[in-house]
Amino acid sequence: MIRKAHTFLSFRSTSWSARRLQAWLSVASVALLLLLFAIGALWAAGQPIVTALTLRNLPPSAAYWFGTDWLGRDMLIRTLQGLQLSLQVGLAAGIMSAAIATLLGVLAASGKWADRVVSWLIDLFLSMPHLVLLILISFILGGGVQGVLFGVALTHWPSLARVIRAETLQLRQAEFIQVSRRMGNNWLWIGWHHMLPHLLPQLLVGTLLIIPHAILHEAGVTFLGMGLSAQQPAIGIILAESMRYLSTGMWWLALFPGLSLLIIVRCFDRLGHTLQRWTDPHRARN
Amino acid sequence: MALLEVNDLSISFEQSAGWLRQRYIPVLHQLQLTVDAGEVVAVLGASGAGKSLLAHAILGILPSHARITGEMTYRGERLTPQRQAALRGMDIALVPQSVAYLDPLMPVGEQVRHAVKQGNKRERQRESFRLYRLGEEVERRYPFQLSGGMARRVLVAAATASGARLIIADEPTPGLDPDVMREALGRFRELADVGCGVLLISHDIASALTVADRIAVMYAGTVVEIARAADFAGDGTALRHPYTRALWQALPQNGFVPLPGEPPQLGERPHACAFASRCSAATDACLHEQPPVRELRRGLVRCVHAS
Amino acid sequence: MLLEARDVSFRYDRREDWLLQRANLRIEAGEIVGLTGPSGIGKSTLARLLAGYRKPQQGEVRLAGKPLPSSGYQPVQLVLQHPEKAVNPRWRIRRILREGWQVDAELRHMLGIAEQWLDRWPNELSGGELQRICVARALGPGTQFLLADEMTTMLDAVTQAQIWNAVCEIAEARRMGMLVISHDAHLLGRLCNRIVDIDTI
Repeated sequence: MIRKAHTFLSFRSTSWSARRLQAWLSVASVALLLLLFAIGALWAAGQPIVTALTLRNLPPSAAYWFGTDWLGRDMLIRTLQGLQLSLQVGLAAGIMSAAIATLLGVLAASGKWADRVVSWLIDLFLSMPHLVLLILISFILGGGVQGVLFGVALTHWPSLARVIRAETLQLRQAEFIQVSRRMGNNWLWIGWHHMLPHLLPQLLVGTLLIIPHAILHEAGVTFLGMGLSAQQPAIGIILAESMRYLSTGMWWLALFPGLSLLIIVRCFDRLGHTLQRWTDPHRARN
Repeated sequence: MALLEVNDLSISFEQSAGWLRQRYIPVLHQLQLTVDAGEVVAVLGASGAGKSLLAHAILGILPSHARITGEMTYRGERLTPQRQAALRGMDIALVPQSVAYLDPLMPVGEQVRHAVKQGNKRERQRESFRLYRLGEEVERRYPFQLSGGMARRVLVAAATASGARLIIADEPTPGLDPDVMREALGRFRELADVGCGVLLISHDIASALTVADRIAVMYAGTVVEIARAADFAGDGTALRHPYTRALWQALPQNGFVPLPGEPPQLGERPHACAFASRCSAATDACLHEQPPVRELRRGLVRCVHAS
Repeated sequence: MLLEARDVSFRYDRREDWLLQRANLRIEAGEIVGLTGPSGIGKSTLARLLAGYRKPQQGEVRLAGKPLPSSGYQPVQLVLQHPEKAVNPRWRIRRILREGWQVDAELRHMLGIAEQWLDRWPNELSGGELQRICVARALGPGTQFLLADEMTTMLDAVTQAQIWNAVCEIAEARRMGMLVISHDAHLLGRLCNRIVDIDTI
């Protein structure tokens, strides 16, 4: 809802249909990739990971697309399973983060004191290095899925909380909200009927943009050995293990899992940004 | 030769109807208008009649899903998109509706200097600031440090300093108190008196009449009448179109008569006079044909009954 | 019934000058008062105080001798200059007209609100059409005073005359009090029983 003033006497005009088409293509390609991944993950979930010592250290081939590791395990299956777990943890943590952000953002907008406390918290969290805090929280909670989940959830909310706070503050001052008060509606009613629908697009975009961070940080912490345990097929574990074999020339152990992680993360990022442009209030609603 | 001539201008907007299909919503219909050098032409009408669209069409800043037909010429030459882009800010300048068009992060003096396209930038900016009684200290101020009246003067100063020959002012005066309004409008008169053409878009007849030479009245996307300012007098018998007369008689100082009804929706009933549903003189002919534009008593009118 | 501002003073910030200082205004039921004066010296602020949008730092606003109610439908309603800001852009007109009370067909007819507008979005109506919606919404049975802050400044003469003719008729029938803020001396002359200058209160 924040209105940016146009630079005086300069006017922009981009092709409307072209932009629309571009947005559709972008979403379609991302959706296709995610669909492919989902099919792959479903397939991989049904495949047992077998150790086959005769098939050790094979480079990528038609039978083993991502190659095999030092125990003869199929890296494609491991990668897909690992990604799935990482994605689940990332999604859950992202959604939890968004919930915290919403709660604190709305709380901040409700009063002067609450605002001071929440703003202080936001500044505090933003001033600390992300990863250090995340490792700390994960460590305190004893690591594992639970540790990583809360660690990521508790560190990724501040920037979204700030956006929600600003939006809510601005909405509270909006004329139609003030009028609604004079029409006899209480704040709870106004929050539900007027404010939430305005915040929803922001929230959706915010959550989508937190998810890639959450996934990467989960993988990062796990890679450093302070996240998911070594028995779990997490992408961070796979990458950490591959480091030991990289020097022996087994490049595929790191390359394919790493690349897959990157693509998935980029997909979410792209989706979030496209949606952001779509819900941008500057764009005229036709 | 007119400075600006608009002939049969029609605009429609492409609208998506479903995923890939489109339809066209007409918004301006066969509009005629001329602006001569040294003249203030006011464009009057209700909100939604298409006044701002006309301004944007002349400047070539309509959104990209607009479809334009008809012809516009500037100094006798056709206005193509390329020519519009070249003239915009040079020969044709816009005084925008809202002070929000100023860049909040740039001192206003600098913004006006940006608008100057010919001659010494600083000199022209200083000169225009002096003309509008803006002190030198104002140059360094940011928009938020100006009063509303001052900010409006800065907008007009930018248009003057640019050296433009055709000034288009989009609702420059709503909500101003009478003194400030008189001053703001007086600036446009001065611009015309030194040879510029001014197109003044407004919904406020009384104030527009204080500076305009001619008045174009818009209704539901077209110009229904072009009258001389002197025609707006007494009970409005010199006016040609029934809507113009209704506007005049609705002024608090002239009877405050409310004409019942509403303008039609855009694109509704393309083959009837848009005013027919509210017109006491409407006949069968009005319901089946768009009345053509014709000349009448040194003005234009789009009504078959006008005499 | 009397709506009054008693010695009210207001400023937005402690570091700023007073926008209003010890201002007094009385509006009787059935009375139409005009308020005029140059921009930026507190006309709108006074209207906002009278309608309870803001509380004065000093002095008080009283309706029939009591403070304004703190919740429920407000008996003092304010209609502002820009209707497009006063409605939720994501609500259809039908829902907007139900927000405070169910606007009935009779009032819709008086204000010239067409049936087919009800299913449209706010950005599909013109400023004049939307302002009628805002006026209708503010004219609930509980409204005892209507404050109009530059209510028709952005509208053409015909629409202005339409809206005011309807509003005055309703006000007279209900013995409602009104405050009309405008720069247009002719308009105030047409509408008001008395006109006050903001400088003199």
